[in-house]
Amino acid sequence: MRGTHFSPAVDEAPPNRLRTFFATFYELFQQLLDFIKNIPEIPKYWPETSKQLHKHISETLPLGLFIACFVGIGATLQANAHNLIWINRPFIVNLMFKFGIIDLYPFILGLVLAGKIGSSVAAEIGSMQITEQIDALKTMSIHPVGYLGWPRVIASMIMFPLTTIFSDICALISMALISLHGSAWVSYSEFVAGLKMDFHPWFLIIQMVIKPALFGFIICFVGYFFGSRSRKGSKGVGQASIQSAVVSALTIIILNYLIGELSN
Amino acid sequence: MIVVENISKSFGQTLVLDRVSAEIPLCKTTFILGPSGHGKTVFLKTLIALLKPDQGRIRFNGSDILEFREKALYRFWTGVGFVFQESALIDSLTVKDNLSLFLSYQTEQAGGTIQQKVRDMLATVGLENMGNKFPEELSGGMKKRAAVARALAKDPPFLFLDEPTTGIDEGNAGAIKKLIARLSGEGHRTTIIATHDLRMMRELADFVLLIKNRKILFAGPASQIEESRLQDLYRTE
Repeated sequence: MRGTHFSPAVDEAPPNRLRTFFATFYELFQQLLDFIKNIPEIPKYWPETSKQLHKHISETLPLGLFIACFVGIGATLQANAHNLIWINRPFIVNLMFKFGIIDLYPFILGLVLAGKIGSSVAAEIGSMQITEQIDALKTMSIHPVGYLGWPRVIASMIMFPLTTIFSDICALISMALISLHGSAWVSYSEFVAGLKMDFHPWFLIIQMVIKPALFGFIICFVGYFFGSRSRKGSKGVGQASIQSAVVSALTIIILNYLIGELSN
Repeated sequence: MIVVENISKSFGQTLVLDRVSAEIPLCKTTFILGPSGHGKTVFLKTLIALLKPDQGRIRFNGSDILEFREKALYRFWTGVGFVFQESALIDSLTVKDNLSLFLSYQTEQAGGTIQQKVRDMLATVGLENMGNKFPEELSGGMKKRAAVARALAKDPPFLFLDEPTTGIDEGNAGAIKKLIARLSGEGHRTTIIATHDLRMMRELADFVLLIKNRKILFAGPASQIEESRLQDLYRTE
């Protein structure tokens, strides 16, 4: 008999797309159950969560603020360019504030961070998977979801809303500076009247806290999922990273639509 | 006794272990020998249910670990030390933190006690000054020694080592061998080592398993193994 020089990585049947889709969906569901089962482990691994929070503060927050400034400026300049004389100015300010900043900004941030944070989580977990570090954690009786998964997810769920709140303030300031001083197309009283128009606190809570927290969960959960099932060496890690970015971006687009639909 | 009954394991279409059975004595040093790619690592990982076999049973002191629910399995792993072929140190942690990981999260020991234990373990493997280094800053041999120290920090009754001396220089290999010899001498630990190192096997083995072509060719006391069997084992076909 010939020697069996096996290689789990290359020895797979050609993929059937539909079967792969449903299998992935099933595994995703299993992973979600695994996360739910490990909720009691969250306090135990708080030091890891704290590390992840620090990482977010240095990496996500500056990026969020940078994007926010340009979203504020961009929204103002575009609104000014389409400034129609028969629409009252407070209404335009209100539209810019609600649609351009409060509603659109978390969505843009979510998409950017799906690429940045999501793919980095997938790559990190993926490389740990292929170098047996995740197996090593298991042999130390440490559940990888508790030690690696939840800390990343919790940190995202805390930092995404915080980044959104700070960034929205930043976007509002940049919008005010351009509107009141730069192009000076609106007066201060019109600007304030625009912000106050049809103001509902729950709208801010949904858009600035709940939506970003959900996006944070999705980005890190999907990143962890694809990372933990990556195979086939560095190519597999690269694939996991891409899959994570694409799937979380698509989920964010759909979720953004659903939240919009539900909050109407 | 660790009893392995009819274990089969395949990856996709490739069968790696084919209805393998063996009885491994407790509190002894068992060596698993076999050519590369013939299933030693898979067998070792399957023994502690890190890989789930397609069929069969694995009994530790009478309990079938494959029947364990997740929580029970994690509890079982508290008594297992495993040294991976590529060391598998957590690369975002320092050597010291790698060693204290289990003690910090899975025991009630105080921080000072843990730190002392980590220092002792590092001294045991000759890495006293390497505690604050990250794995990427260590040589292959040092990583292996750190991985052995990490496994031993738990003081586990079951110790599994996958190719502990492969790919490292004579000096590092010698240090690891000495350590394994010392552990074997303690007599209360079940040590299972997958290796190609025949010299180490001859020096330290109480019990030997020979694996080739998905099957166990021999399982018995080291004193009963014939030289011709070992030569056959590594003969390329």
